[in-house]
Amino acid sequence: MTEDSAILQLRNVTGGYGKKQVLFGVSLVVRRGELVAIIGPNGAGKSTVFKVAMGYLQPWEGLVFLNGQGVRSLPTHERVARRMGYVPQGRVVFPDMTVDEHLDVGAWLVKSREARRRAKEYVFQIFPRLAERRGQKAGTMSGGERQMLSMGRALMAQPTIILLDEPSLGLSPKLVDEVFQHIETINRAGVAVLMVEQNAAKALRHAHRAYVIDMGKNHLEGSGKQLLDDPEVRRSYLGG
Amino acid sequence: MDQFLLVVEVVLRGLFLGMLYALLASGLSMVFGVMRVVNFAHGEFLMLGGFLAYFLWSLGHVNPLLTIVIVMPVMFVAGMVVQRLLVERVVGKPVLSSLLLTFGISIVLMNLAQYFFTTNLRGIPYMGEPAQLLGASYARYTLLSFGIGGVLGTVLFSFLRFTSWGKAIRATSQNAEVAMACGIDVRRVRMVSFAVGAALAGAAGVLAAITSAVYPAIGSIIILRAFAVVVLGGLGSIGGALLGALLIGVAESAGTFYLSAEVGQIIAFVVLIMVLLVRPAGIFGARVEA
Repeated sequence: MTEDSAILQLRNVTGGYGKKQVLFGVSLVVRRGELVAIIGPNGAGKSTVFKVAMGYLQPWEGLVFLNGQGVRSLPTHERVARRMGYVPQGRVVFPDMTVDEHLDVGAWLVKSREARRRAKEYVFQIFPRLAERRGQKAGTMSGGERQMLSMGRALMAQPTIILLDEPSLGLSPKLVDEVFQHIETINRAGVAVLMVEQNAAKALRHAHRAYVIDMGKNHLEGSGKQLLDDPEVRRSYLGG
Repeated sequence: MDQFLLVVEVVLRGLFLGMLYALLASGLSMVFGVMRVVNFAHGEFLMLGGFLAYFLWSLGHVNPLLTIVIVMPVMFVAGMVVQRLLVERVVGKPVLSSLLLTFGISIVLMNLAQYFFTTNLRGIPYMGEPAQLLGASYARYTLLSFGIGGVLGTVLFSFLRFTSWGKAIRATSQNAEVAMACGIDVRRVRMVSFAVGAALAGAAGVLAAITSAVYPAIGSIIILRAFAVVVLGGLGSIGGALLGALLIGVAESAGTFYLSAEVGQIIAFVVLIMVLLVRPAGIFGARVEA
């Protein structure tokens, strides 16, 4: 059983690639409307947690629940059909496709033309810059624009939870602020957010709750503010 | 003036020839883009499509042109079955596995064809009367097959550009992981891409039966040209495959006319080597990620 308000829940998940174990028991929960961050050092297994949550990687042990239902062996596209959105690391997009085409592909599961049109309008409202570049190919866009495109694409399927893998990686400080503002906008519209961030201080300032994952295991958890004030977190993960 | 008209004729003959390669190469390139599998059995779909058209005409008295309407759906389904039962198993596996598998399928199909159909050449005599075009005379079937090839190429292009399935195929070939995150069932996309490729190869087989003849080994001979075309255009780039096909066709026609038929046979590979020296990833090769 899971809590009623839990959208995504991982329980004691272990896993890895080939014979190399990366996760040694990770548990976490994201409830309706929450903004949750995962922080931790490089190589701690943060992105692997996402791969398991999205179904790209089968866990060795442990359970994954989506809206209270076990989805351990459900393929990725069916998790997306259950309103899970995913923005991968590195702002990966389809380089040869235009902004419009990205959003069309993002709305693959939305069958009604009218609903697709409304979703696109909503995305353009959040990211006006995308509206200006509708016909531009993604491969020719800047890093910040591609991050917005990637988030907009994920929003087209109207997810109830969206997983963001390192959304601020490699962006200039000004763009980082912009991206976090967009994340808050999306969250305030009622979409639960789970993000992995190497910019731990920034992530903790914006998140309602956060998990510290280290060596493939849960290390600490608490509200963003608690962890921000925690001396051990400051020393080990915030660099001072 | 005569010299100029001669050049026009050589180029036109090259374009006519290139269209056949284009039908084969676009499917080959699409399959590679979506699955990262080099399909050595792609030529055998052309061979089977050609034989099917021949027997529909000779035994079933179907109009040669209409056979294409039967051959394409049949090859589509055949492609779906081969993909789901066999090729899907080697997606994401080491290259050697997929090479051995598709090479094996190719050999099996070719030998079955030899056993059942014999090694005789079988052509459909149809629209053989000459027609005048820009100062030279061509058999009508040449113009006809160029027209059909052009229509199919345009349909394929529009399908990939404007339909949601077409966009899903392009998305999957550019980034399968993100395509899945859009809710796309990439297994189905792989099956449909393979089936579309097989249907196009089948159509090319019909045209081969009308313009020349089909025989069991035709696939394994013509596939080498198609590989040259695909590599020339850039692996995975369908627009590149179309362009590369026409380029190879013209080069082959020019080589045959100005030098000799033997030179014409190797010219595709000479062009390939020359282009790769300048652009190692092919004409449009920058698009495909490793």
